Amino acid sequence: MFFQALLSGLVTGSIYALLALGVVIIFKATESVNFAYGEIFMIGAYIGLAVYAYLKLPYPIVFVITFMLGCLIGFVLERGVLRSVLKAKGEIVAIVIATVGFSVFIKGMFRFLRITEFVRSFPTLFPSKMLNIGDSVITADGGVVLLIALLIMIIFFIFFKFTKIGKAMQAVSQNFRAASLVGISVPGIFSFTWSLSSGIGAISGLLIGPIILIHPDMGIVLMQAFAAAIIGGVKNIPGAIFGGFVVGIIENMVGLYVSTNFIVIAPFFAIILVLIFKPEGIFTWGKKRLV
Amino acid sequence: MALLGANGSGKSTIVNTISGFIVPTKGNIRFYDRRINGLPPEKIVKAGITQVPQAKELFPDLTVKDNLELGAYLRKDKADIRRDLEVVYQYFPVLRDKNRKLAGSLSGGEQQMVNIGRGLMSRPRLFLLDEPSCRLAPIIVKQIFDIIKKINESGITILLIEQNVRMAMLIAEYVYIIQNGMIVVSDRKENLEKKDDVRRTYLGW
Amino acid sequence: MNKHFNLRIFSFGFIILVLLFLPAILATYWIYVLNLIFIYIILALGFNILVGFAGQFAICHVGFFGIGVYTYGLLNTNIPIPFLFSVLAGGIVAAVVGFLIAIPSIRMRDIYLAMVTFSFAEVLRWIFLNWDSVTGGPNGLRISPATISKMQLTTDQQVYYVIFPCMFLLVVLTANMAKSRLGRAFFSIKDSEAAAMACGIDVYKYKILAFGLSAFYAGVAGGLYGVLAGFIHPESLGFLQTILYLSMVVIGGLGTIPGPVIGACLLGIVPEFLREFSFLQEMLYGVVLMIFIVLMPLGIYGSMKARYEKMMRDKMQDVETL
Repeated sequence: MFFQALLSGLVTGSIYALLALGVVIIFKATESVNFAYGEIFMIGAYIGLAVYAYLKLPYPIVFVITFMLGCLIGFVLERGVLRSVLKAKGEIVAIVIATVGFSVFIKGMFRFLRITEFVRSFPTLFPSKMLNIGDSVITADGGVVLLIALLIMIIFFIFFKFTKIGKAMQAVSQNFRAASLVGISVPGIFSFTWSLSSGIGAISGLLIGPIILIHPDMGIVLMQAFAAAIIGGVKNIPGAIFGGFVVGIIENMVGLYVSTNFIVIAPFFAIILVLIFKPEGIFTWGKKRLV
Repeated sequence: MALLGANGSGKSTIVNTISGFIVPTKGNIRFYDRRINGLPPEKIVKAGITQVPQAKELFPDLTVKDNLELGAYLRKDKADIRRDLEVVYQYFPVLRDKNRKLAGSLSGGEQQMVNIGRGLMSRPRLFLLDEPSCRLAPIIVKQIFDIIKKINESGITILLIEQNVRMAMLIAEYVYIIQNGMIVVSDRKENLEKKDDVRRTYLGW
Repeated sequence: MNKHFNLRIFSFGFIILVLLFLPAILATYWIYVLNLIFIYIILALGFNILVGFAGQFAICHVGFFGIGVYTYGLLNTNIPIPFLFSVLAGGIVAAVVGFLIAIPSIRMRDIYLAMVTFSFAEVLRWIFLNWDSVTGGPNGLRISPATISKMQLTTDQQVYYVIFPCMFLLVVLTANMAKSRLGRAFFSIKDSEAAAMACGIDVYKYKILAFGLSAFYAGVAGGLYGVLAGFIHPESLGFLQTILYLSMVVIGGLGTIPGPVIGACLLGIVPEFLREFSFLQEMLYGVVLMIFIVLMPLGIYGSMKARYEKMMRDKMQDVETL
């Protein structure tokens, strides 16, 4: 049972890790948070469903479309709402409210258009294919999710460390004034980061499609993403990924050994404990940044 | 060129306006017949004006080499970039030794060297140096000013903003003096040294 | 100047008078709405103390509200003390919890503070939901009606004359506090903690105080809600409520006194008007939030105040240049 919980935890953990990655790159580069991130996750799932199940396009194309649409939403959100907010006051409260407003709007729209009545569950990609490891089972769907998620993380890592834009993102997150002095368009990087993060969020929604039920309240996963990011260290990219897996595994373990009731509150406990005792994140060591 | 003035007279304001961080409400700035006021900072750098700010603005978690290379962010000529990096290392040999160290771990003087070196890497047409001697030990100040003179001799136009009047006057050809936001003197150094009243009022000797 | 002052007092008194006699002319439903709005006013004012005065982005307010309701409910249903004492107890217990939460939290700022306080609120809500024996858990808590010397307060009109004075009292108290030494200490912390410390203000103490005070308001509001509704369920103590409080304070005007009042009135009334179109309402709400934070980040009253002050400053400049 333990091993089964571990395996399932890895699968859901990989999704949390991707989401946490999206949260951290925005926070690192722009010191802001996107409270509509959960809704973008949900939109990704629905788009994926619509295009894959109804338009019956092949999965790789669905993947690309979902990613692009996610990026577009992030871009529009950043340009449209955030630019004006930053011009006006630039405080985090304003950004939170603006993005929360967007998320409320999206959720209301989905419920208004009664989309729930049309869509229910994502068809499995590999029906009835499973892999047995000892007593535990991992479905082929789950395995694929895990692999694709890991692949995305690796691609992102290479992108971040070795490409010019990646270096620009690093520069902006360390010192945006120096970045301007060097010729980097800081607003451009802001837009890029938000787009990328939203794209990743949408992809995560698509990936998780075959595994869980899709519904307009899916965005609640935002809290687990935040918990994962905080556990790993909000300014720490490998930490975020680590945090995601930790949250996924702990959730399953808690459900197995404590009670299913406790699963819901576990991420919040984690946030409280980490922020009080090790605010820079469990996975960060050495330099302690001021919280 | 040297821009001299007391604290709060408006020196940094001018520099930041040229670089695009402050947008002027009236008037125009022209650079080689091109209007540049209102352009965002990154476009100003592209136009050939690079600023080395008063505060040592570095990327603390990147290596010295990465910091310097980022100075050439807008350039595409890889071979020339490598050559320019060599030139910077010749000006500041200490940076070659600390090549792979994180910029945040360097001393104040060394950080200023990274600052200037990074500015050089963009091959500026106009090099703005905002109080490079600020908060540095006197020995290092002398070194830095020697290097600034060398840079100027290599053909790069420099606008030096300084409070340290003596050192600036040693290496400048042309001097502007700003007081309360207005340029009150603009002349060649040799002429200024002859005008006693200007010397006493503004330069203090 | 004097004429101005008298006009203000007069119009203020007139409004109070009108409000006092409204229950006689309005339908019961609207009195219920007014009662709810008054409770929201108290909630918004309390929230404003922490976020608007002291500048702490702390969003555990709904948790304090919940504590107020449950404390009042349990006391009033089980212990024969005057119901107003139970309401007060709700405020006090909430304040104590506020102090407790404040102690580890005040080291943090901005989004970290928001995250940790929100987590605390969710933990409280989870406790409400799972501590069946005490709180009734997922079935909610039934609260017996308030009684005054054998008479039960069950109609909205009766409850009105409890809630209205409480709200009025708290508004006056808050207005006085804003101008007092305490209020100025709060504002100085919001402006610059370092400067405040340099002036000798014990920032930690005042932050904890702000938490406790804010929680007290929420707790009292909770108790009054118990009087009004007679029932509470943890589901109505979630993130949506937190967003609602934030919206009221921001749309009305953060850091001002009339701001939260205006915000509470607007956001209390609008849902009632849109009752039939609940999903459209949600969309509209989201859009309104975005529009407001972009166009009027200082809120309705805040923007008016800012414009008025600018006008005054321009006038002064004209006088100076003469």
